[in-house]
Amino acid sequence: MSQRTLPLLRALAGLLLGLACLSYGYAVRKVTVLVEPPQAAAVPEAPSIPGEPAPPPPAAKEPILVAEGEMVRDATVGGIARLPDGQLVRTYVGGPTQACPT
Amino acid sequence: MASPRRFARVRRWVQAAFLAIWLNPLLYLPVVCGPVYHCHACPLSAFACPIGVLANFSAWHVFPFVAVGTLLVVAISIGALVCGWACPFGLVQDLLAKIPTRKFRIPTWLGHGRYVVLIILVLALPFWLGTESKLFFCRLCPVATLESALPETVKTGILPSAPRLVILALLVAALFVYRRPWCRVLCPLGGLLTLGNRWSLFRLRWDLARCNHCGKCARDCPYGVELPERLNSAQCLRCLECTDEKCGALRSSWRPGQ
Repeated sequence: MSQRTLPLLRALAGLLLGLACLSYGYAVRKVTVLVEPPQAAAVPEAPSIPGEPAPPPPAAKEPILVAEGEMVRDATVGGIARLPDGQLVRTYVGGPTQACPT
Repeated sequence: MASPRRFARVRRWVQAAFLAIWLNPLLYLPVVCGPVYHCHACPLSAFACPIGVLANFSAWHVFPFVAVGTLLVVAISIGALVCGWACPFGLVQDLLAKIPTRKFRIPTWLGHGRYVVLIILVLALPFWLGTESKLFFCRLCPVATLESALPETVKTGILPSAPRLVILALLVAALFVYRRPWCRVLCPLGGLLTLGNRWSLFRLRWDLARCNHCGKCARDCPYGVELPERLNSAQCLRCLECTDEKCGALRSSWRPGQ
C-alpha cells in the first residue's frame, strides 16, 4: 500500500464512520424519556385553600421515545434530567428554564 | 506572489463572517451541533455547542452519536481549520491579542491540558455527578460566562457565580500575555479537532526542495508551533499564516499522507 493510499483510506474510513454516526443519530436513534402528559403540563397547579378539596395529584409522567436531534435541542436548555433510578425525564416545558446551567 | 500576511487580514474577515452565522437567531437550529466552541445558551446562538452536548449526554449516560459524528466529520475533513478560521471565541482571543503587551511562549506540553479538561470535566465528572453538580462543565465554562451569563446579568441583574467570574477573569488576564491561551491549553473542542490534523483530508505540506531552513515560518507562527517539523501536529490551529511565507515551502493541500 503506497504512502498516499493508506492515509487516504484511513481518512475516508473516519469520514464514513462520522457520517454513519450522524445518520444513525438523526434518522434512527430514539431514547426513552419521561414527559408530562400535555394536559397536565398545560394546567397550572392551583394553590391549596383551607377547607377546599386538595388539587388532584400531578399526572404520572409518560415514557415516550425522543429522537436524538430533539435531545440535542433539550441539551441547549438543560431540559432533561437523569433520575437516580437511571430514567431520563424532560424538565423543560417551555418558558424560562431553571435547570439551564448557564 | 502573495503579499506577506495576506492570510492574517483575510482571516479576520472570515472569522467575522462566521460569527454572523453562529450568532444568528434567524437561523435557529438547536437540533444541529455546530462545529465551533460557542455557548448554545447564548440568546443569539443558532446551533448547539458540541462540548455542551457531550457534557449533557455524558450526564444522561446516553452515547452522543450526533455530536461524535459531527466532530469526526469535521476533524477528518479539515482538522483544526475551524479553530483558526471559524471559531467565535478564537476571534475574541485573536482581537484581544492585538493589545500591545509582551506575549510569552506556551510550552508545548501544556497542550495536553485540553485532553485533561475533555476527559475529566466534560466526560467523567458529568457522568458521575450529573448536570446539577456545581462542577458540571457548562457551569464553569468561560465561553458560557461571556456569551450567556453576562448578558443575563445585564437583563436580570443576577451576577454569575464566583467560580465562573474567577475563571473568566484568569482567562482574560492570560490573554494579555499569551496568544489564544484557551485554545492551546484548555479548549476540549480544540483538543479533539487538532487531533484530526494528523489524519485530515485537508493538511499542510512541507516542500523540502523549497525550504532554506531559515526558520522564519516558526518565528512568524502566531501560536508558537515548532515549524516546519511539527506541521499538522496537535499544536497547530491552522491559521495558515505559515503558507503565506514568500519561500512557498509550506502549503495547504487536500491530499492526505506525507
